[in-house]
Amino acid sequence: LNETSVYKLFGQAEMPGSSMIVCWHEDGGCIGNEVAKYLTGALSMSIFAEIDPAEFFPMSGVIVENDVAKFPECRFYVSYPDNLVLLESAVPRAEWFKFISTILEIAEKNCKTSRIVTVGSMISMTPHTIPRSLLASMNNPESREYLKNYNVDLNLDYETPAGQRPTMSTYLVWEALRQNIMGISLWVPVPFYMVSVKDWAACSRVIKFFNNRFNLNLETANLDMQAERQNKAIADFLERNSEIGEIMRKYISNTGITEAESSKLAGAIEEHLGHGDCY
Amino acid sequence: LGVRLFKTPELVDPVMIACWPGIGNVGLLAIETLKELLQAEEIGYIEPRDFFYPKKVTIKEGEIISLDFPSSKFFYKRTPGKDIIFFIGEEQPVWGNKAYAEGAKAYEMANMVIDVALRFGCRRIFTSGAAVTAIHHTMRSRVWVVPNNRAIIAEIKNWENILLMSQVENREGQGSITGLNGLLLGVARKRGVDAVCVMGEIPVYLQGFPILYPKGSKAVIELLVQLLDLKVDLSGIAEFTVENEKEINTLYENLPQEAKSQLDELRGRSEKDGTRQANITEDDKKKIMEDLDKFFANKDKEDGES
Repeated sequence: LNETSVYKLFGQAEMPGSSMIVCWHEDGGCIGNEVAKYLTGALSMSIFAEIDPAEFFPMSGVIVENDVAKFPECRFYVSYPDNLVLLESAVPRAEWFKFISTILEIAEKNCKTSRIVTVGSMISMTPHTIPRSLLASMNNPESREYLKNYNVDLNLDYETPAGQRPTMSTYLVWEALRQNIMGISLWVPVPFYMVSVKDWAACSRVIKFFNNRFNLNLETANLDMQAERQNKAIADFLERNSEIGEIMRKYISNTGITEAESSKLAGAIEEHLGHGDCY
Repeated sequence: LGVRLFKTPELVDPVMIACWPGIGNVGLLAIETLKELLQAEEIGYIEPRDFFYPKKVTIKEGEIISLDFPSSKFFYKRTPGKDIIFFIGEEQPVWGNKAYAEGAKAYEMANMVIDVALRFGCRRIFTSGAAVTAIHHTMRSRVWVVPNNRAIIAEIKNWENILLMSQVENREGQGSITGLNGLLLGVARKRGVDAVCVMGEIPVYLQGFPILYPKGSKAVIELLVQLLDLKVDLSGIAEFTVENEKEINTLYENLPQEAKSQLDELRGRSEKDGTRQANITEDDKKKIMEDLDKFFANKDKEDGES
């Protein structure tokens, strides 16, 4: 780090035409965390750069979650054979524009990246028994062509509801256009009662998209097995717990559940499957 | 990034009126209303990306059409009484989850606003906010006034319907103004510009509720209209004040008897001692707020379950 730079490079990564995947921590269903963990491991990606957190996070101590002290990390990994960069990062708490400018500087100046694809989840009212879909928002119409043969819903219409804010992914993708970088945000719906746990079906859906789109040749059967095991664990739990089972039956049959029942269902699923620890 | 001015009109000895959101948006409603009544014209803005997180995205058929940020805009109006530069900030630049601006970003924005004031030759700046106090909502709000230098106090004492901090019960001239409506006074002082914060009174029991309190705003508008010799029709804000009081009365009638009795006592005490300022203790205040919080928490629960 020098006086003007808020990031540190661990090597050279000029990769013209490369793609950058961006995964955020604390994403619903642990999607960002799990996708990053899976891809960096399966592709043996190495750390290439790191953004210093001091300006973007309150350095006022640490939060302990699930017995472990957390600390914000913002790391770039590379896979040279796949021409792929991956950023795994906590969402900054301040200086958002500077943070995004830093990402884009690394993408453009150091990596010569031509497209950025962010990963995110959206809370869904569809049950876990329905296969996960994948939606996209993009910063220019050309991205439509890039995604058209990959079973991605390209017709998303959305406006930020009152009281909410756009996501960091949207902000990044919007700013990427200023640097002439194609930007795509991928969204996978996560059932509302699985937001705090690892949603393996959703993770699998995203990883398989990257596998196909970037020709990564990954073996993904284990992801399907994880998702199946999770669905079975939920089914067994609902079988044993008649009250929660009844709520889920009402929910799946679309007969409507109350707010109290929703929160009971989410609490029970989280307790049974374990908090996702999406850090 | 910085200030963008797309028009620089010649103004004669103008004043600046600047405001950001605060408690009950008392100040913001006052300044917005005044700006609208005068039909002030937009002349520029502060580039938002260095200060704010986006507030709204619009996506159509997958494509991000727009990403909107909170605005920080300058307006101007020539009037027979006084030429005015308005600055209205839609949000305060905050760090993390804090409610009000503080630190380097707040200081930077305050300096940008003063830069514009000086560029147009403003020798006085007004900011506006809310004064949370133990008055009843049926009473007329007064305006608490805080200048950034002692030399203005003699002049302020001639203004109508105002209180200096030393005239507020139990304050003895002390207090604080949180966020940019206060910080701007300090930055203006540092840069040699007179500045005054005018704060409309809001009852202590309404400070946390998501409703406007136009009575406090009206008091601020009336003061500025008088000081700047402005000719504006205030019937709109007057009507709004009447309607708002009816709404608050309805809310009031639905309060639990215990909370209502305490607030009635507040009215009784403040009317009786003639100062309009009820001399209630911190314990009284705490009890009232607790009762009201409890009431609204139960109400939300009932609404949610119905």
